[in-house]
Amino acid sequence: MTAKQLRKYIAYVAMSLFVAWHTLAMVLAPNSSSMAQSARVVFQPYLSLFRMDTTWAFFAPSAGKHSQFRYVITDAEGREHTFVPGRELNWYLPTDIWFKNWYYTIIEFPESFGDIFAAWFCRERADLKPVTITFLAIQEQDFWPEDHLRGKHPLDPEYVVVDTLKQAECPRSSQTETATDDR
Amino acid sequence: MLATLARAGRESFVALGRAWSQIWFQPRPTTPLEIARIGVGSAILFHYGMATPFLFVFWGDTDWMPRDVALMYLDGPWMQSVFFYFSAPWQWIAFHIFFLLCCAAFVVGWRTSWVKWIVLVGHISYDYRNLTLSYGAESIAACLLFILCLAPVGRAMSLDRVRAVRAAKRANLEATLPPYTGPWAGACTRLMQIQMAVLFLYSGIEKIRGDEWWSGDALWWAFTTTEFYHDPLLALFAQQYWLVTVGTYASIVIEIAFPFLIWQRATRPYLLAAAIFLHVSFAVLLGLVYFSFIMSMGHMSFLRPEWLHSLGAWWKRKIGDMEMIYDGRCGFCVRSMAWLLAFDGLGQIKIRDFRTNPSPVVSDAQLEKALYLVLPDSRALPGFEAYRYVVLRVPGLWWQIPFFYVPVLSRLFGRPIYNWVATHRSWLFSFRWGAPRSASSG
Repeated sequence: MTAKQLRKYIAYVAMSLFVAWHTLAMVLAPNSSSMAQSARVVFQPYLSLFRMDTTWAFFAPSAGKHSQFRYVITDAEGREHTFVPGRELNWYLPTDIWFKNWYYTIIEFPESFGDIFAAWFCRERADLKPVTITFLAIQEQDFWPEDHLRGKHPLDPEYVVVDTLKQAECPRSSQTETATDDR
Repeated sequence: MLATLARAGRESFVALGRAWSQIWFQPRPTTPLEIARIGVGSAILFHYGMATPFLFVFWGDTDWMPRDVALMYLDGPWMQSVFFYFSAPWQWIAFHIFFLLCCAAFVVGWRTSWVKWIVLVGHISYDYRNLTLSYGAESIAACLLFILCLAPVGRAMSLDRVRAVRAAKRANLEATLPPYTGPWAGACTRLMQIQMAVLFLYSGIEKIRGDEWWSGDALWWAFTTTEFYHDPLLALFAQQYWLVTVGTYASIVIEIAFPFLIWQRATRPYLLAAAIFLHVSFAVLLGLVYFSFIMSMGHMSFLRPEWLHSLGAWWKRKIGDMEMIYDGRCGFCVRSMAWLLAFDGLGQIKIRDFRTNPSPVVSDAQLEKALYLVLPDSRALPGFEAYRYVVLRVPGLWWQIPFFYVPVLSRLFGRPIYNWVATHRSWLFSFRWGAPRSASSG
């Protein structure tokens, strides 16, 4: 075997080993069986480093029943203003998914992220002179075709459960900023 | 007996080796991967370009996701992001700009061999810096990008290819560079195909684990959610509920059948069409444009080279012959022709140097003033009009359409600019490149 043939042979073996490894990694990543889990010890660094660690479970096992995020601002005069930030997004732009995922993060972890969001939304609505902010999750319930035929909407009060996630004081800065602006 | 067994073992081993090579290492062009590169790169460029106003909100240390909170979402030291190593705001901005430029370079195939790695590192970095924003599309994009990084992309449908062809044509305009094919391109194409098949298989399996999918109601539930609420479609579904059942089961059938039937020659076109249809539906009806586009680009790996070849041949036939007549003594003209022909990947343009091979259609006196394009019906288009005609008909030049086809303005400015360049071509050549090497006059 000449040096050139040897190099070619080594390259072939290396390429073969790599494609076998990568294929195994692709197959193992979404697999939750106990055998696959035990093989993960070897594959995990590779899967994590290249962001291949995922389940590919789109709309599965359940396709429906999400929650809508809303917040209510109470102003200095005690009036309540309700906002549905998801409605202001454009379906076809990436910002839609980013912001909606963020709203799900508050719904899921209101204690961890509540204060950060309170500051953000109070600043955004500073013109209302906000005093407190309340985060709500509107949880969807069953909504059948006959309900739609009766002119109902999945977010009508009889089809949802309203969950109060957190109430927070608006930071002083968001109130004073407006006061300064008003002057 | 032993000798027979040994021979049988050896023959089996050889046969296995041959089958392995046939599955993985058939020399293939990179074209399907290049389509995926352009598509995935464009989607990522748009995606992160749109992220620019929210750079600090989503990925910064001061706004929605402080660094210590982001780190809590990560599982182990292998989940890395360059953003964890930044401290000053300018570093975020500089990286973001650099990343977007690399995405643009990746799309056009400029210095592809290294910019592709920056795109991969950047994409994973954004994703790991704030995992709460992440959804399936980010993982698919990362998986496809990684395979594209491993693959020898940039060898076709790219500026790298244009530069290589141009270099060959600068020495001799008639020179051709054979299309790239290689066994590693074949292996990477196969990896991407397996990635898409695995993805569909698991996606289908996860669905059949859910009651809503078994009962045939999943589509209804998807469209009634606040996220994907679609009133006109729900009105239709409410009246014709069988559509929901058919749509739900069709989605599962496509996803389960895909990994098994996509490999056969006879069934591939149908499965590919069904998968693309599924994703177009997701894009239009669910607004999942980024996800659907990236998925469709992954499916491009299933395009057979012969399909693309037939498509190219059909386009060439449809457009017909085009002969460009140029001045071979003018160095500027020769270099311009080398540039133009480098973009003509399908080889649609034939060339003629009127100095050595006079045209029967256009006189030398006319050709002294401008280059001409001669069409099969003997029409001859001069200068700017020649370029304008070619730009629309040569796919590699389509990026110039906006310059040549702005109503009124293109002709208003294009013609005088061309005429000025044509008149001053010898001066331009000496100004830019020094004296012509072989030309006797301009």
